[in-house]
Amino acid sequence: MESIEELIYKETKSRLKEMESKNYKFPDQADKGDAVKIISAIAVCIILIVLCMMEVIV
Amino acid sequence: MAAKTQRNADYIKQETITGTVPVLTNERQYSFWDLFLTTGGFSIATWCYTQGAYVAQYLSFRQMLVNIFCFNIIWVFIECLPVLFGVRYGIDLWVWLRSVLGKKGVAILATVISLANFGWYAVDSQLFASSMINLAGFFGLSLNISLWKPLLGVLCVIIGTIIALGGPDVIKWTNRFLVVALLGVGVIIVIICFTAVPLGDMFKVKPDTSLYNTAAGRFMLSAEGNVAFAFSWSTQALVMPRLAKSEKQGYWATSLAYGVVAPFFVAAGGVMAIATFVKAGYYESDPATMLAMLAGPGFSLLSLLLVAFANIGTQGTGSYVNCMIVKSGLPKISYKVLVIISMFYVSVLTVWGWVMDNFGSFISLAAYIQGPIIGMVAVDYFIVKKRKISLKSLYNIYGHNAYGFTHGFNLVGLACIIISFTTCIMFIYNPLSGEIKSPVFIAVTGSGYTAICGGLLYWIASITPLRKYMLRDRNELDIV
Repeated sequence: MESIEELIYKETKSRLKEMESKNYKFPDQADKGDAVKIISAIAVCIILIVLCMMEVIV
Repeated sequence: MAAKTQRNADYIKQETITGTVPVLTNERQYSFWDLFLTTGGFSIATWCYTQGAYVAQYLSFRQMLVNIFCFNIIWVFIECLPVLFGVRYGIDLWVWLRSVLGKKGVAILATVISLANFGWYAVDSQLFASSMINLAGFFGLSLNISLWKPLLGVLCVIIGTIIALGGPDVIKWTNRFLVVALLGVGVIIVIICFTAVPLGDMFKVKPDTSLYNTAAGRFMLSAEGNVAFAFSWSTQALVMPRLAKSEKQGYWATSLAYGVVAPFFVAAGGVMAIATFVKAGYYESDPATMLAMLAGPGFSLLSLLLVAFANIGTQGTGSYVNCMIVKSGLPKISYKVLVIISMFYVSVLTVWGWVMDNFGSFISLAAYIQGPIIGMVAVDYFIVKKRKISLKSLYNIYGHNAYGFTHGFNLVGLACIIISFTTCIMFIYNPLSGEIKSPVFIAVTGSGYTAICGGLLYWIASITPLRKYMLRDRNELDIV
């Protein structure tokens, strides 16, 4: 009789095998547009923080 | 036999959504809105108002808004980058961390961090209890605090536990209603603040300058709380995205919920605190009291919705997330058993009250452990492993042991955490005493230092001969 651990191991192995196959479709990826948005948001925030520390924004 | 097969199938399904089995693409349950609302519901609790009221005292109105939003956006957007691998492979952060800390390192740290994270839910429950007692008072019902505060606090924990036992499907549906209501309430609160007190009067409030003797120092000491707040999501943030349908949806739902929605409520708390200061001459942090002061006791029912639903929803989602974190290190323990154990643990913390009494120190100390992990994961994912990992070694499939390290501990990863944590307390900022020890704090805060230090040390180690110890999986990258 299989233990719970063996059951999970077998299932995990089977899923990894499926993910390894050429037919497996991974979820759609993020793209360069997302990277631009992230970097821009962080840059704007840093500028605002510096302006506060310099007491330009009071 | 058929019944046994069905039981096994049910168990596997359960272990996929409440365990560590990878979630396949066709099993994903959460769209952008599902994940955004669930994550938002998790992040909105009355601790946001406590955080906001704390910051409001020491900064001007405009600086308060910049401090709250900008530090949260910066750090949340960075710490959520590993969502990308979580979504791609259907795993959570703590499974990836087996390659950075070792399997036993993950088991210990996941448990320690979850024990710390549960402190947030004790704060949550205590705020729930205080607000309920204040609300009862507005309606003429005087409750004995020493009896009702612990009782109501534990009640919040129990109801949240019931939600958690339902799993992510119950959580998703609970939050669809809850978060929409709370967002609406948040907007109403901000409108009330701006109509109860003239905006010009709020701009004129002079902040308390006793916190530190320079403006930059006061700004960054307030930032320490916001950075620690942002870090508090990091180890919890990357559990839900494994259920998202695409990387874009997973990333933006998670980062906008933690980086914009939660800070919106922190800012609402800050605005309310400043408005009550203008009206009454002192700062208040209880949202029920603030609302009654600004808009009259009739609006107390609004705060009932706000406090009760927000805190209970957070308890439920938080219990699920943190039990999943513990389970990634101790996968053999049943999820439901963990939820029940955590219910007792959080109840004890709630009744004890230490976390609430030492809130500022608590969030910083917790952040000092999470900070290095944030830095290391970002460096590991983008620079060291270049977004590729051996899933077979992560799951110890027979014949794959690239992440065995030293008896299950990655000594390099663990050393980075210990060095970052101790050097920060000794040389940068001590959250227990509130002492700033270095100008580095003024640039990056103590919590920020731990993330930068952890990431930098990990990167430096990867360009020395230690690289061979850290990176043993390049021959088994079958799933990319």
